[in-house]
Amino acid sequence: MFWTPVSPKKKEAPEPEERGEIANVSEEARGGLSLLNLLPSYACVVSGERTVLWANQAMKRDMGLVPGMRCFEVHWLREEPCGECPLDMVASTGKSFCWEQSIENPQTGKIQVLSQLIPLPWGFARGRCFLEISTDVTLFKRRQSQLELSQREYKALFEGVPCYISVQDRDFRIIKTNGLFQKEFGRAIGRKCYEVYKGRDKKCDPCPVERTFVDGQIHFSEETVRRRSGEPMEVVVYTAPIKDNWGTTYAVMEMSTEITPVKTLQRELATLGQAVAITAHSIKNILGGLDGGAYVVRSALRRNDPELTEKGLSMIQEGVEMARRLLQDILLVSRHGRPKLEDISPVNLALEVISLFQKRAGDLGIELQLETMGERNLTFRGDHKGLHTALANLLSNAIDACASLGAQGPGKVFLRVHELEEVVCFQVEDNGPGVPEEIKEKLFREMVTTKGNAGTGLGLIVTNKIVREHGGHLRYRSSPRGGTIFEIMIPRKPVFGEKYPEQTGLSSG
Amino acid sequence: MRLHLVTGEVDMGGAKRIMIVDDEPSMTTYLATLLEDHGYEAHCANDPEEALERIRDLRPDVILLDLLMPKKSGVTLFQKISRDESLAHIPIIVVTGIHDHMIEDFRSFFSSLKLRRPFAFLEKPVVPEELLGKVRESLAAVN
Repeated sequence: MFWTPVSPKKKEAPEPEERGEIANVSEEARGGLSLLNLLPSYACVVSGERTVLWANQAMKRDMGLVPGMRCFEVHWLREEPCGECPLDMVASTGKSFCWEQSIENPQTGKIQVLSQLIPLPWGFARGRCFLEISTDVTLFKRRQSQLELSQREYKALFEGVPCYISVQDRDFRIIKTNGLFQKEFGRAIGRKCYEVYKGRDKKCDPCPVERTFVDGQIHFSEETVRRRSGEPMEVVVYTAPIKDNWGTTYAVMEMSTEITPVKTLQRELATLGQAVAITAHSIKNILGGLDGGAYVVRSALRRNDPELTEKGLSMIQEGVEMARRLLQDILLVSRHGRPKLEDISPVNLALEVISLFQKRAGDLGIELQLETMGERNLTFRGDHKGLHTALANLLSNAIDACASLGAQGPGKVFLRVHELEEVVCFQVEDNGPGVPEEIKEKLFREMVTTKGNAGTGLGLIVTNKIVREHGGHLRYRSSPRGGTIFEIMIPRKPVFGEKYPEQTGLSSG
Repeated sequence: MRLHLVTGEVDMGGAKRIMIVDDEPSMTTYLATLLEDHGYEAHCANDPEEALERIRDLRPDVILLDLLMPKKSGVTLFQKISRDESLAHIPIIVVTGIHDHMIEDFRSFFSSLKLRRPFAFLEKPVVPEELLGKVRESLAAVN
């Protein structure tokens, strides 16, 4: 729209104000006004009736000002004064006023200005006069709104990414966090990152944040952190530098993505691979046994040796029996879905399992003993059948270990129930020979059976799987009596669905 | 029957004595039957302690040894035999149920001990021809 100047009022011999002039102004005041011509801002003197009495050159040039125009005609192309005019306020209070407004510039269209309206002293002109100085801030405002937009975008990104974000200063103090972080880790501003993420009282080593501070580069690592609830979480962590105008890293942004489910899957796949390898090994053993049995039977028939025939047949029988056990274990390892929850009394469970083995232990001259600590026998929620199998596996292993003591016995097996506040702990200890030192580490990692044809090697995998399904841990260590202690820890409030990260296979501790 | 002649009976000093040490009775039964069928005199021990005594008494020509026996592992028995000057000359064939890659570990373990090495490593399940071949080779090596 093109601005059309409003024609001045036509009147004979108009008053100086009506002509858009300032009357009765001292020379000194005129000199002051002419200085305003040098300003890169718009300046004008307005009468109480809003007539523009004087305007500086910038205003005359840009606004196409004609003497006698009223300020609202100039600024907004209006024909009536504006509803809320700061002039009234300035006139009544006598104090200057500053505000932002957008005005029409006939050259460039709407512009944003920062205006100041200053009451001029009485006697400056005939009536009360006001000086209005307006500075074009359009570019500044545009920049500001761009900045605000990018800040909003940054904030949306900061809050919207599916990552836990914290920003740390050089003292590893958290200075900013996003919403997702606050949800999982709580309020953390001002606290040390190692304290919040890991519950430590010292800096982690190595620390990805520190590395980014040192070299200003992005680093990543896999960490296990702790939720506000205490529950562990596996995360991939990226640390990125935040630099000042001089390129110095003054803060580091730590972005963590949860990978607990991926890790769980990875562990499951590893276990599956292990189980397949063990199964293949077991089948090989079974076939070896069957082969041997068949050979012995054939040879015995040739020799006409009934006793040897009998031995050969029992070898075949053993092979069949082992195949059956292997099948059972495979079914248990491949079982899916949540455990069936029941109230289980820990001592009763232990008694049940121990009674199963009394006869076998007795026949082998092995002492089987139940010890309880806590003696509360408070029930906990768990899968009765699964935990029964897990304990039976450990007890069976322990008895086998003791059985090999032979004359060096007597073998002793302890099943202990420790009832703690948060967890129920079952321990199976034997005074057997322990695992041969030379191959200890490897044996447990590979889970190879030491029992030749007696065990499938899947027993510990099955046990570990059941315990893990309860959010618990299976650990082993050497017993002071020379044998081995296996320990099952089940949380009283089980966390199902593998939320607890576990180490692959067994953990030694 | 031909094998019978080639191996056991061909020796003028009577059948060769072979000691089988394995904690599994079914394994010793099988290996003993196999070796007897091929003209050897087989002796079995299911316990390493008992085995050492029997070896000292019997002075077998070859020892078949399982490495992964409980109680005292076969490794300990192997060390004892190797350190006993009167027994050190007897070839030992390791017959064990561990995986191939672990046999490699055992090999390096034996070399680290600076002991003489077992004559051969055989993995269970045993292939009869392979076992008989190694027994023959070990006997030939001693002679």
